[in-house]
Amino acid sequence: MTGYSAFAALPSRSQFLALLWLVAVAVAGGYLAWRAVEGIHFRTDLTALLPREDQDPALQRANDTVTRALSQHVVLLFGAADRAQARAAAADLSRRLDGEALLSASTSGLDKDRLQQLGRLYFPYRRGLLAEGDRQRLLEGKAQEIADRALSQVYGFIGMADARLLRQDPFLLMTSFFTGLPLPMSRLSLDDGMMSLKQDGMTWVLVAGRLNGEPFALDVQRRMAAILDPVALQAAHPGVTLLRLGAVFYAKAGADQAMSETSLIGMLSTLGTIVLVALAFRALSPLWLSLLVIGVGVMTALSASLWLFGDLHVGALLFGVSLIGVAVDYSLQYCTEIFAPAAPPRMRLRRVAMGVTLGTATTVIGYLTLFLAPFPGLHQIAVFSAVGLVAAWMTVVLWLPLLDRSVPPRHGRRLLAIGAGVLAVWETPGYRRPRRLAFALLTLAALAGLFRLHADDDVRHMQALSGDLLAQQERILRLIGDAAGGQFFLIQAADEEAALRDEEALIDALRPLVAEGALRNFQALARYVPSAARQRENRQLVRHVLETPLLERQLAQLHLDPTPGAADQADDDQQVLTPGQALSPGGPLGVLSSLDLGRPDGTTTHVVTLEGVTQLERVAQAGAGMRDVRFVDPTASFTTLLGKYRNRAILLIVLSAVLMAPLLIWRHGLIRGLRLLAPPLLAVALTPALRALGGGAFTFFDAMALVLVLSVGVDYAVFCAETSGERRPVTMVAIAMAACTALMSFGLLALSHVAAVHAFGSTMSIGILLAFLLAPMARTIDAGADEDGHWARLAERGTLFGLRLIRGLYGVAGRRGCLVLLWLIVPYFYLSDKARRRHCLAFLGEVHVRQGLPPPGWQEGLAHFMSFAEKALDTFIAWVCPERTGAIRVVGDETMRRLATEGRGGLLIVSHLGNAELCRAHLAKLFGRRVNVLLHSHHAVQYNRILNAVCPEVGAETIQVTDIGPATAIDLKERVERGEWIAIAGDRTPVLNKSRVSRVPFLGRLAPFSQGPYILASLMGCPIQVMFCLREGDGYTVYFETFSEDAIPLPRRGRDLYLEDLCARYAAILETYCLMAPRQWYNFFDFWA
Amino acid sequence: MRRLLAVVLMVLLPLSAWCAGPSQTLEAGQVLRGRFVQERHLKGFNAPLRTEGHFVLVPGRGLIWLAETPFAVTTIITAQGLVQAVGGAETMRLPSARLPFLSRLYDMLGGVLGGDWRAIETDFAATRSGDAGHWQMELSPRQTPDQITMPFRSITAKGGRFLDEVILLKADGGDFDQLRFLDQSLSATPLSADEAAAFDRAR
Repeated sequence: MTGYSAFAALPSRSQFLALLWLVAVAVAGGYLAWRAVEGIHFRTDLTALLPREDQDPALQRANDTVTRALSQHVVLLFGAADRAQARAAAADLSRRLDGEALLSASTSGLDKDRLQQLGRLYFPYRRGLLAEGDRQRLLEGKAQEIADRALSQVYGFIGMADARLLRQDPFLLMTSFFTGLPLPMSRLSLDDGMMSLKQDGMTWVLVAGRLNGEPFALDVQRRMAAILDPVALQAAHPGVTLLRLGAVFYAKAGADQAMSETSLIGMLSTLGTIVLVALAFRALSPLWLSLLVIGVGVMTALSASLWLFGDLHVGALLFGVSLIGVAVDYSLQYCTEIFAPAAPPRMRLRRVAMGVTLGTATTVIGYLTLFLAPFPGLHQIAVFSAVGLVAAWMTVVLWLPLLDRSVPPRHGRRLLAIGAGVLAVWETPGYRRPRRLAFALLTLAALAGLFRLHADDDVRHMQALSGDLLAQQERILRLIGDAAGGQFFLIQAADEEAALRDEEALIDALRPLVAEGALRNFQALARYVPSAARQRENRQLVRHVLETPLLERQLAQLHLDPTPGAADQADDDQQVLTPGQALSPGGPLGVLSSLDLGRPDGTTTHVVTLEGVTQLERVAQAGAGMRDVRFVDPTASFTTLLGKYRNRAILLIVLSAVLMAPLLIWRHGLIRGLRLLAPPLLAVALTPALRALGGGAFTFFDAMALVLVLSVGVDYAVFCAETSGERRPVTMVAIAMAACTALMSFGLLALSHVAAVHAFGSTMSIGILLAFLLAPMARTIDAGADEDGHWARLAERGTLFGLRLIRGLYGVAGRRGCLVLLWLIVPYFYLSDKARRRHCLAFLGEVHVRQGLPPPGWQEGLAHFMSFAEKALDTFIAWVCPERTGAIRVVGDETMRRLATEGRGGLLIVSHLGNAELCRAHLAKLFGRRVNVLLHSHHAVQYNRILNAVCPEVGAETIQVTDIGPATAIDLKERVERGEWIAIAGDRTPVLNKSRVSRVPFLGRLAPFSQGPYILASLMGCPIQVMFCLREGDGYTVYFETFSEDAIPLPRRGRDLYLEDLCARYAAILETYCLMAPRQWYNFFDFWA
Repeated sequence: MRRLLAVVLMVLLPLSAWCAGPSQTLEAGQVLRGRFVQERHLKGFNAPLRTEGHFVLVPGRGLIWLAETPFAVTTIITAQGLVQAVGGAETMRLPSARLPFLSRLYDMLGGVLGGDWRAIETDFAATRSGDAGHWQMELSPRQTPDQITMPFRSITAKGGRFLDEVILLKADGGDFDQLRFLDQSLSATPLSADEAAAFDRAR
């Protein structure tokens, strides 16, 4: 038979695409496997998720450096009642850490070598170095105090006089300077080579240093944890307590928590999905199809993200895992089609293809708007999710139809009843009051929530720090007194000297604050290396205020001869200690090198770190008025930034909706497209209010969650809108399952201990629930308007209203007047009804090809539409005032007349070519017989309504096609035997039972034609006539063709082929007449589908 | 270094009592008072630096060292640490938390007072000679002398009923301190108000 080669071509194209996709997936899988073998690194620092301060790169760099220095700082305290035990444990672990090269031990305290180095460093410049207190005294002229103090120390109890030192420094200025240095960890002191501290009967020994490596790298954390394992420690050194402080421990705790939560959530989510799918479908096929989709989605997402970013953040992984709940929606949409009337897999896919594609597109848009926030972590989430969703979509579209072996389930009825029930809540008038009540309650709850709505951007609430580690940190800080807080002053000056002078001014402002307790201590380079100006000033002070009056007496009291050391004085007037010398790495002050950030952007940048700040505002004010000095509080600035971006996120939501709108409008038209957005936007608006009702604060992460609620909500609305008629309960079931899986994944996130993740999960859960409940608002309310669906649901647009209008106008202006009105209305329909326009032009295209004409332009399309409008007008006139109809000629009616005289009825195959309606009344008159018209139910109801409204006396009965059961069939047979004619459309395929369709050539392509008429005729055993009523000139011509004079016997064997033959014959006849009057073809849908 | 010396002294002072015999062991409630003369000999200086004053040692509470000439400096050492005051105004305070050595030896003090020599022996090698009426003890540090951790090369103590003289030889060769104790007496009189107040301030 013809056309089979065409059949064979189609599947291979989709098979080819499926194969391509398989190759792509294999590549992704291979890459992932390769990376897995090499070891995948997950980053765990929260700072990577937080925004970059983009306005000020210098500030960001300062932030980064200080944070990095802080984060690499590790402090371990070994405590025991027995000093020897503590020392042994400390020495042992210190050696092991050294062996693994994990820690660069830097006890920044005073050990013997360091002191000697410091002494050697400072000695040549000692005359310029004065302790702050000594300088004050000299400025106030209290030089005598210094002299006395030195003497009392030398003479005093166990004086620390070193003869050589005294000779060079008879006023002990250097010693004073030394002891005045605010070296960190001052509560500890050197005990036999180890920094230790005795308190409350316990001896604490310190091991501190800088971590070699990233504190957030998992392998570093692992190695540290292995060495510092408490169990092993107890075994090797019983009775020793270990306290630890360092970002690496927090990071590990955080990472452990995040990883365990990820795996838990992922597992529970997948498990829940499996259970749900198994319960709903009671078959393995949908289950493993869904798992395939999820698996491919997650795998490609992981692979692509790793390829793009190198390493992935644990947060991105966590959110990506919740992707499971969204990606499964698409496979569920496809799989639930199994409950709809049976169709092959590809047909089932076709039904949901548009919905699924639109849903994927809108959700991907929603995720990609996350890219607009300058959060590196969110970029990763955006890419991960977008790739995963697209991969899931491709799997559904390309693989599922080929792999699907599901059989229609038998238990679908109950499930569909649930779906229908949900729909009923929205549609039945009986539910109107509960609906309104529910809405009222919702609004009330939202208003109540609005009152409690408050924002909380404090970044410290974002990450739950391990309680145990916090307690250890507190203890350590109390013991050793080292409390580096987060705040610091940033100094940017033209050169080193200017920076140091700025620092000195700042120090003068901060010192009284320390005395008052507003802060405990601060570290500044200038305290260790005064500015050149100050060093010179100090030298002058020492020379003039101290030595000139007092040196002789001092030396006399010390029984020293005035030494020729005075000769030095002339020399070191030129020499000044510079930071470069002091901060050489490996030198005694190497630990302070983190205070000097070098020269980014050509300015010298120094940092003054603050410890133990209790009165933030006062300390911040200390730098006021100094141009180069800036107070930086990273925590507070993060908090402000989070607040700023929380507000921006709301804009993002609006932007997201705006970006999705064109897609929806293109598909559904302006009003319906916008109406689609209403349920998700409503959900987005109500969710924060409801969450506030439960006491949650509105944070940045809640705002980001709302962006996703919008995209997922649009998915549900789109699915509701793309479905129609009997498929609606099926779609509701699919959406319900999708909402369940989404709730499972995001709801589980709400259990997380990380505050940010918890906020995200809670908002998502509430949002998705609301989106699901409100989604049916977007359903198709009019009885079917999807143009790719069955012809039966094509409503004549605006028919009733139009008819009333025309009736009025006709009464006034006659046919011409009505035509004018039509000329105004039709272009609007032509422009706005995109689908029908497309089909009209497609049809005309085929015709023009056959006629050797160029392809049709918009004029031909418009003319075609106009022709339809005229037809409707003529039909109306025919009903209302039949006498006004133009002349009607009849051609080829000999057989009809003969049959009429014999009193035999038959089957009349009409079509939507030309105006068959017109002849109804006339036919009855012509042949004196009744004509019964078989029509589809919805159409029939409306049609009958119109007829009864317009001309009730047209007695032709309209029988509903879907209702042809045995009773109707017998009734029809009786009518035929009485001589009545049954008119049935031969160019429309039946609604439900699509198997009684043959694809036969029509205008060069295969089109489906119903076998129904011929089967019916065979059942009734009556002749078949084909009729066309075409407008020609001012009147109409009715053409009759004899299809079969007698009853058609349907053979047992080869029945399908026989029917196909009959359909082909009819199609050929239709084609002939079609080419005669192509503009009178009124099937505005894809006839060849 | 200063702390180390303080501690050594605190150990040595009651040693005399111990050396003299159990009957002279310091008991709770007893207070050792006396005068001291400290001469500091520094290499290259023309004359030794001389300080005079008196002291009060109270077992269980600490030591008050009142230097009078040429500078009046009061130094108080207790279990909590070391405090120095000039003219009533505090000039220095070193908590024992920063002096682990100090507190360690302060604990050992109790042991030594009770007759336990082993405590000292971990850090010094001690050689005793003479008898109860006239004894001499040499302490050599087990650790190599250096400026910061062990600034003494040797410590020589001489005494009879009480500790009479201590000579501290500095690691730095040539420098030594000579401490002489005079007019010492053990009494059961409680502390004067000033002395008690001094201890309280030091807490």
